[in-house]
Amino acid sequence: MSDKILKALIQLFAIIGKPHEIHGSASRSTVALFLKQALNSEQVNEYLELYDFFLKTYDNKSDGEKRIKKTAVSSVKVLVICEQINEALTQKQKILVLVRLIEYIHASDEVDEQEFEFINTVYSSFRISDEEFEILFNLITQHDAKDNEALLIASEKNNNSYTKSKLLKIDHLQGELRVVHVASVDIYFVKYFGVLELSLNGISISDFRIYQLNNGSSIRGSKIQPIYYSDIISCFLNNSFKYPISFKVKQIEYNFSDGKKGLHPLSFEENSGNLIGIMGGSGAGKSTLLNILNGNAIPSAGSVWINGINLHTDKAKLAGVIGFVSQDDLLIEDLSVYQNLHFNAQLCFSNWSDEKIVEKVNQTLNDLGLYEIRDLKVGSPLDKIISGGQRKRLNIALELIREPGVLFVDEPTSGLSSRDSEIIIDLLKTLALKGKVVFVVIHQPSSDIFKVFDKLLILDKGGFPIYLGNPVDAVSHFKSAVNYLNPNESECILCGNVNPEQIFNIIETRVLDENGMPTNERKISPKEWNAIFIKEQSTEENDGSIIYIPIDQTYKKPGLLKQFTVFVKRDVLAKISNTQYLLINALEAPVLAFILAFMTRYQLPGQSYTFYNNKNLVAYIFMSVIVALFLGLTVSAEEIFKDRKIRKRETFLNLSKGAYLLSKIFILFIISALQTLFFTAIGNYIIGFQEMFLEYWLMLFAVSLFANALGLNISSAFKSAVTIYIIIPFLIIPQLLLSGLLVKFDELNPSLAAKSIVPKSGEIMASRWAFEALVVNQFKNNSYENKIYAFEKEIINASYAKGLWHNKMIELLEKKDAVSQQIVINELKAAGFNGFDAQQNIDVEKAKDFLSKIKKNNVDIYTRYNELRDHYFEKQASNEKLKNDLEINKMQFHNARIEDLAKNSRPLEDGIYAEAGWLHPNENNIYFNASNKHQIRAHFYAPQKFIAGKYYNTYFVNLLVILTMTIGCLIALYFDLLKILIDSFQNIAFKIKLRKG
Amino acid sequence: MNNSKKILLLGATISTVILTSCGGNKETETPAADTTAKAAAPAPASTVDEMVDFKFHYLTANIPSPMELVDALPKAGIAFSKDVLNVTENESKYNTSLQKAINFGIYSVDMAYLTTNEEYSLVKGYLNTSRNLAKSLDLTETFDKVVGNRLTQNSENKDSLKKVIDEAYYEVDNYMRNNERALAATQMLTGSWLESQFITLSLIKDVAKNEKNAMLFDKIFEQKRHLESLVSLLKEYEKEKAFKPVIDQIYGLNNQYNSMKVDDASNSVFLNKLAASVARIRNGLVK
Repeated sequence: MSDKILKALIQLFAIIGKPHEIHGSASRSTVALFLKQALNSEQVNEYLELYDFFLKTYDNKSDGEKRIKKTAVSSVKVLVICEQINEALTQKQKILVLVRLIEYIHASDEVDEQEFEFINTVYSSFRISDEEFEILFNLITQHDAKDNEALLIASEKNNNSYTKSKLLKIDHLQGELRVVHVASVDIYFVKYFGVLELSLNGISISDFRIYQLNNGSSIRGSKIQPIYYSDIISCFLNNSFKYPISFKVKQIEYNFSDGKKGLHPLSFEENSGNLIGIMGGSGAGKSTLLNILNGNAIPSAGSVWINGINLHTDKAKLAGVIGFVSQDDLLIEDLSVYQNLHFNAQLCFSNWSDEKIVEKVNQTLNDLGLYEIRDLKVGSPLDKIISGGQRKRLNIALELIREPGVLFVDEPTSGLSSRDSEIIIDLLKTLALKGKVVFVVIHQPSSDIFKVFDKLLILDKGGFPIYLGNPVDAVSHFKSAVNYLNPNESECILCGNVNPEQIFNIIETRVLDENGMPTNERKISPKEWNAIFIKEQSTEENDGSIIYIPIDQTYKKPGLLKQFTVFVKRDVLAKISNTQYLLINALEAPVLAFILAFMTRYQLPGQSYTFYNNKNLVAYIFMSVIVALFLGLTVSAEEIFKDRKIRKRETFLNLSKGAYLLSKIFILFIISALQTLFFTAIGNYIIGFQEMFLEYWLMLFAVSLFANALGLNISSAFKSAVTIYIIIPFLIIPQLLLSGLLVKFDELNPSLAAKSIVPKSGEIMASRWAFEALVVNQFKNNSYENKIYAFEKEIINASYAKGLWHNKMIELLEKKDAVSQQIVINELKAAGFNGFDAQQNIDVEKAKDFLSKIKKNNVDIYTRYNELRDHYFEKQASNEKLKNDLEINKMQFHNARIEDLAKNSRPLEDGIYAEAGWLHPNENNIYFNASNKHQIRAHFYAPQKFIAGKYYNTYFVNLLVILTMTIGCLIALYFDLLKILIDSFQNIAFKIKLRKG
Repeated sequence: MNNSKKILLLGATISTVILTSCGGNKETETPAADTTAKAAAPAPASTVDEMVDFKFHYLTANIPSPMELVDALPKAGIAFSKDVLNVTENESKYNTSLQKAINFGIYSVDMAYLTTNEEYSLVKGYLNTSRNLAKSLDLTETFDKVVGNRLTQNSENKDSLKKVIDEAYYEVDNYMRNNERALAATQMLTGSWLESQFITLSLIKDVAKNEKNAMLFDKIFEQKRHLESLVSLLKEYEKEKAFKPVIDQIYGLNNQYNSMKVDDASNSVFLNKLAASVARIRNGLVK
């Protein structure tokens, strides 16, 4: 409230004030009380002085008869002030102001005419309805209650003299407790007319004042049962549900996969407004039941119907109707309380405006008492920032905000203080009263909480339902079943407390042995309890008819794009607020790049650094690829896993998995793009790459993308972080080994090895495609080599054809074994030879002639291109500048080790070999195009690859392959293929174990 | 057979092979016989007529292996010096066929010199370098045939060295005959002759003649005649633009050798002058 408004209010108080009551008067204390709500004590005094000042000022101008005139004059002033207030205060605040003003004029004695006129001016200019004013005015000023629909009278006896008013019977309550509901702003005010010492939220209630009732408030007294907010509003809300919910359970049963019964047949029906408690010892099947009821598990028999829709077969129609608050925290730890709720709201109310959503979020935060902590980060359970009770409330808020028709809450009070527990249960009760059905699994509830439930369902060990009915009656039910004394006495006669423990003591009573010691055997087995239950149930069999009732459509799932943007925003905010994560991810790539490049920056002793002479360039390129893989994997490996709890909650919203995954991919891809960009920029700068930046970055980026996709797969398929990090080496090590550098593909275990073409084990490694592409690109396209590569390629191809190949062919032509013949036939056919006779035998003479022609041709090609090449170099050597440039180019752009690698010199081996019926050159891989016998696949370091009848550059092809692999991984991710695979393995393993066991 | 011995044998073999191979090239095919070559292909520059071919064959037969000269050095008591070799790092500087061929000849002599001095540790590096150049010169197959066989053979007999050399000689000779490589062969020969002169002259220019090393000085004088043969071979390649400057330098050197008298061959002043000329040409080619 601003200073201006306060002053205006003080003036209002002063205008109507009575000067002779300045000090110690009731009016003055009302002003003080009002001020205390908004200000600290020092400021209160300041404003009180102001009040006194105004009071005197107005008083000086008037005495006796002039008072009437004064009031008339001041009513103009009042109007002006009220207009001021109208502009600054919300309706809710104005109601509060009005209440204080009424109290103020009523403080000393009866309200006189001027005062009444004054208050009339105020409320009408505040635009408060006559009815609401009247009922508030009556509540404050009148001792006798006036019958009204907005009034609740709570008293000891059933007062039948009221017809419209709501009545609430409270035993031992002397006098009356009156509650007024101001419907326009949904506020409740309470006033007590009586002599008992009562307290509202711990503050004692004085009988002449009125109090506002907030969510979670309770009124207590030494002799009465606590009166909760939910008790009060239930009187107002009763049976006026806009969208009633009917929840029917018909003979549901559940069997575990190993055949054991998890839940025995159970039927019941619940309607709007009920809060149902589910109790039972551990292993009684509470969670199983909850999972069936919320649709997560499919019952082995029976069905669950919500408003006439089968929950398990028609789930999509019930999108958003069911809410589930699990026992675990399902919060995004790196986001604030507000953000958690806000993003959730955005996913629930796509048809709402942003302002409306913000308002709704704030209101929910207010309702749950979380408004003050809305900007705090949630934090992890180990690194707590908000308290356990607040966490729980926030968890509930996340479900509550979209007002699901049926809400399931799993042990909301465990680990909370009794006060926090009461607040939460009251909250759930309020929700139920608003027309929902709320199921709560609860452990050891206090007597007060226990009584709040409308119904209680008790399950016994092995999934036997043994009680369903009024909670307080439960005690007498079990007592009478075991023939206790006075079974009808369900609560303590003195204090009125119910002890829920007593129920379980009866259920689990043990048989005593001869020494009077309890044995492990139960007196009455779960089955027997169940039999008693069934017997009683049968008498009140429900009709089982299924009627369709329209469902509340407040929940509106956003479109894919909206979901995507919300997911992205949420994830980005969470990541940004996690400084550690941010820092590590931002620094990882540059630091690794620096370490790697700095360490491998070799220079010849005593000479300055030249790119050409760096012996470690191959290692650098190889490590870059591995780093890109690592970066991509580590950044993604935990992504989905981390979100799995939130995902679980969001399954009830039927949100798009595609949009979620896409948001993950989108963010990860951006992170990877930046990481690889930093890496390439820093690493390549240090090591001395002066060109092909884009090619390096793009390739590393692609590798990172692939790793992202791979990481997302494992993060969605595995169930713990440890497993995920154990899996990473399994993914990285083959990538290291089969990249083509550490182990040559033809020197692998013979069952895997291949030479003329990269073996399949290598083809599935992204590292091999990336490394090959980078090496081939670096060698072939650098500013030095790109001028001579074309010549050299021709020279070497011709040299091979006229030399090694020709001689080998002549040699094989003479050999008559099948293998040699096959090779000769293959090679000759491919070269265009057609001198085969009718039996497909080779005419040796014709073949020799053909070969010599080929040789001749290649000799010419060889000579010609050698000349062209020499010509180029001679020209370069013709003047000093060109010569210098050539040398500089070579030193700056070309690298000796890369050249060695790409030419893959194999001293001491034959320059030609036969594999799979064909001849292949053993060296100079970089100069021989891929064979057109395969699509895409080729020998390592092939400069060009064959796809669908055309040759494309290796860099381009390999990039495409990696991107295709990435897309493949993403498809697998979308369809959970890895998870399905792992699950089926586990099933097999489980079955084997069963058979052995 | 231990490794060092293997390398020794290997080095010796290769050097011999390479050097002797130069003497065996023969061009048999004439352009007229070329019926299958693509019409667009220009006539190869290295195509020589039968007369040239004969000359090449004849002349190279008259040039003794440069290996012979460096082989004489340790026998004459001349200490080994690493400084006279062409460093292997220079290999990356050779771009043109001419540079490659000449330096291949040079490295071959270096290898022979290392082998004869039993400097095994250095042989390996030269072996690699030579192989790289051989690869560029399209001699890979021949080179590897010799090298590969020798490494895998388990010969412990020192006397088999001669046999290996002969074998290899025929191998390479055969290859050269069938591959129109007279120009490259001539360039290699030029390089290896120059290097043998360079090493020998550098080492003995200031050494006094004595009984033990007398035959070395005699061999220097004999070079006069060998150079004559080389020059008449080079005359056939004056049309080769890239080769011409080298040929001219050899002509100049020939004049100097021609002026050499029997006494000059042991005259320190004359030898120093000669060594300087050889060094100038040789250093120009290796850099």
